[in-house]
Amino acid sequence: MISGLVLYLNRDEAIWSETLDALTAQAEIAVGQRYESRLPVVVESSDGSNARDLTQWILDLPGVDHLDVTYVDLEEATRGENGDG
Amino acid sequence: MDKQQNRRDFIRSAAMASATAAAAGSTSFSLPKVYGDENSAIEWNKAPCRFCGTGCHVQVGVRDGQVVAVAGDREADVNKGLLCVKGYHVGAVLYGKDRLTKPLLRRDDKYVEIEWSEAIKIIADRIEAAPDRFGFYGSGQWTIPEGYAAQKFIKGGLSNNHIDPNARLCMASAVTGFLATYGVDEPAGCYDDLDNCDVLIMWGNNPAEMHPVLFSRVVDRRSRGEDITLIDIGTRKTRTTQQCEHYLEMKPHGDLAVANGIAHLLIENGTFDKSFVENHCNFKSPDSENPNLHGKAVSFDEYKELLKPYTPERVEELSGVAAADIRMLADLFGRRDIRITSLWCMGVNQHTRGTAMNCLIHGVHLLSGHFGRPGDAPTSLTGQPSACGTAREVGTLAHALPGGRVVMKPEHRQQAEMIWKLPEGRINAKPGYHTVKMWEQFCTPAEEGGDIDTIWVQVTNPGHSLPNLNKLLTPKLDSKKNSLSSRKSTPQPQRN
Repeated sequence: MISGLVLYLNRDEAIWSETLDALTAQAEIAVGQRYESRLPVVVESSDGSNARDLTQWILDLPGVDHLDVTYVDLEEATRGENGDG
Repeated sequence: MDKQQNRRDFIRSAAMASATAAAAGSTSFSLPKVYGDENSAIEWNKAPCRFCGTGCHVQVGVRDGQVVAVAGDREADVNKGLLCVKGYHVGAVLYGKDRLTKPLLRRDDKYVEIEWSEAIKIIADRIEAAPDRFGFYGSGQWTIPEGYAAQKFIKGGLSNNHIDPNARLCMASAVTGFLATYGVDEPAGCYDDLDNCDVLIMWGNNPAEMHPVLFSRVVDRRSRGEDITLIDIGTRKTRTTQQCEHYLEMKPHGDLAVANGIAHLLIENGTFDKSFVENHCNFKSPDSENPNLHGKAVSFDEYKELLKPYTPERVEELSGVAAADIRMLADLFGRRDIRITSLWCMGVNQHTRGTAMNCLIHGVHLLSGHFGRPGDAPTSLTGQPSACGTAREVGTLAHALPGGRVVMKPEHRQQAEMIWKLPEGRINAKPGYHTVKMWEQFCTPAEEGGDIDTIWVQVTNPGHSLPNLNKLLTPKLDSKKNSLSSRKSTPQPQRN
């Protein structure tokens, strides 16, 4: 699954750099251009379970207040009945 | 670069473009019709997300008969292109390994696959054999067309009013609160209040996890530097609490005392909205001699007297919320220069004093005049996206007809019969069984007065959500295992 997400960062900019470093260090995550406190990212996961783990990991990062999903491609995950519904 | 890598690159670009457009507040993103140099096009159509009460619009991408992508609908005012983490599963849920792809019929202790033609014939035969002993049990996850079809089929076709949704269970206290307070069954606020309030009070409510796309409106306002105070009044900390300036932990049911404590201080301090109250409010108290929906009319002075015991210190004893915090809440409601929105959902609706608590939240907003302006509203959330639309507006309730009409009123039946082109008198004037009664009758043996033989369950799982399963479901499953009306043998949608 390949997903587009928007992260809402805390107003405390002091902790952003640590969070951004943690995100960019993950091979499954691509970080886009930040707009004020909103950060677009793309997450690649093997299936729904892995997607849940990754989003939970992101939400637990310091300075991440909230997360929305904008796009999910699930073709590879569901072809061949690999969905975990 | 191989074709597969090229395809993945294209999907990554599309995903990043959608996220970037949402982050930038831009409308420039267009859903991709193909990935890279592939030939097979993706067709996008709109569908609702049924996972919570927000009602997000989802764009669903289908290729060769298979859902391949989902995206938030940027044209939708409700979610403005966003989905929550549940959005991951809106598409994938169709392809779960345990998803039924054929109708199942229970024979002895086993479920056997049958064809749709056989399933439809079995259902039709059962209904035809005893149309007055048949019922529909649905939910707030019915889409409006689905609910409307069931409603018209049973009330217009069978002259039988045994149709009810699970919204009867989750929203009964909210509906009673609306009717008792305003005389109409509609929320006073709307989602746009979240964009305009200065203070957001969440009563036993966890929108960060339960209604995430709504909560992101508030988080987004903060990320843009707006000043908004969040207050969580609850019995446990949640992800919502992490965003709140104030977390007021209360004892279970302590919220009633908190609301009364706020009202007491508003009057004691003279900070209630005198003009609003004089022009728009009457006062009622519970009528213990004759319990009824609207209570007993009382004067303002009598109302004031009723509130006298609810001093901050007494409320602290009752609720566990510190007296200083009760004063803080009352001070906020006493201000005319800020706008306050209250949010609540099942945390209020489903405790045993849910109806009273609904009335009290409305009452605090009316007394303080924090009502009827953008951002100033008591806003009850639903747990399902169409508890208002399908259950209440379409009227998939045992007593209701579409558009706020009821079966007991002759003129309402006539209007529905005219619209549905039915012979006069087709619609039954007697309300059907509400949810609990329907399942009680289903579980009662015929010789003991049980008169519901078959229930067609649609878009809900009463095996999980009914109260007191030992009374309302298990007896039937134990006594009549081959009944098509049991939830497990209800035909399920087939995978395309």
